[in-house]
Amino acid sequence: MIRHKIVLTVFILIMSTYTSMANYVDKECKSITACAASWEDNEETGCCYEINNEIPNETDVEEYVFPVTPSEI
Amino acid sequence: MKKKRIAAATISVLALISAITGSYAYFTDKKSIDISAKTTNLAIEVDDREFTNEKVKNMLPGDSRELSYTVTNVGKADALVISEITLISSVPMDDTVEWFIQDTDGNFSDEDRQVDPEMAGKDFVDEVTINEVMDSKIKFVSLTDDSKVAKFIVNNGVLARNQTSTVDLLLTLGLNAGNSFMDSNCEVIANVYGIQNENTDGALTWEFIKDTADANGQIENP
Repeated sequence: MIRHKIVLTVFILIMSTYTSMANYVDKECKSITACAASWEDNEETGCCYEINNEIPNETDVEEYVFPVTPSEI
Repeated sequence: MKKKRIAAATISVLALISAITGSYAYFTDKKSIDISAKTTNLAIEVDDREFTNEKVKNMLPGDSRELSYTVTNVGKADALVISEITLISSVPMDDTVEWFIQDTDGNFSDEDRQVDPEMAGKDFVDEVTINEVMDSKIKFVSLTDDSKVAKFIVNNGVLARNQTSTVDLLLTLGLNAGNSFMDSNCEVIANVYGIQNENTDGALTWEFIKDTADANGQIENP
């Protein structure tokens, strides 16, 4: 009987403690997902290194053709 | 014969008492008044139209993207508004976290991106009190053991009833993000709390606020 009274007293104490600490609280939750960019190889726009290797620096030019003659100029 | 006398005496005494009691009548009147105490309410609404995936896609190291949401106090009591921003990275982060949020001034230092050693390895922020939250605008409060979940608390100030406030933040991918962050994701969750401003003990812990909000949510949506 005494044990029951002790348990009841502890329960009331705990409940009264919680009650005295209650506050009005409201909560809203929203979420989104951010993405880090990836490095994609683009065949249409080669990098500087690729372009230099595809276009040789030395080009053979056999003759220059002017659109007009010097006298016309 | 003696018995009859006793009975007669008893009856006489009772009659006398009854007569005396009856003579104690008074004029009386009674008026009753009553009032009914009413509680106020507290409620916030969040407009997330500017809080979209579109704003935070294809981010490169060094990028900062503006995120904003609007909080309206639709209750009758003033509310202290505090947001808990959770960043869940798909890849583990460093001690100086790569994904972080900061004020629109963008002045978050490397030190601000390092969690307090006491909070390292925890996914909760129970020790932080309201007073500590109010000390700064944004506070980096916890990083989990797997270094994937970082939590920040943003102090959005007091919102009077019917007042609306826009919360502007920057989501940043730090320059310390290496190749492991390519094609990675970071979920951004904003839990916005409205807490009664009056009579609130500043020593209340953040855990208590969250538990109370969750308990209230369960009551409202059983």
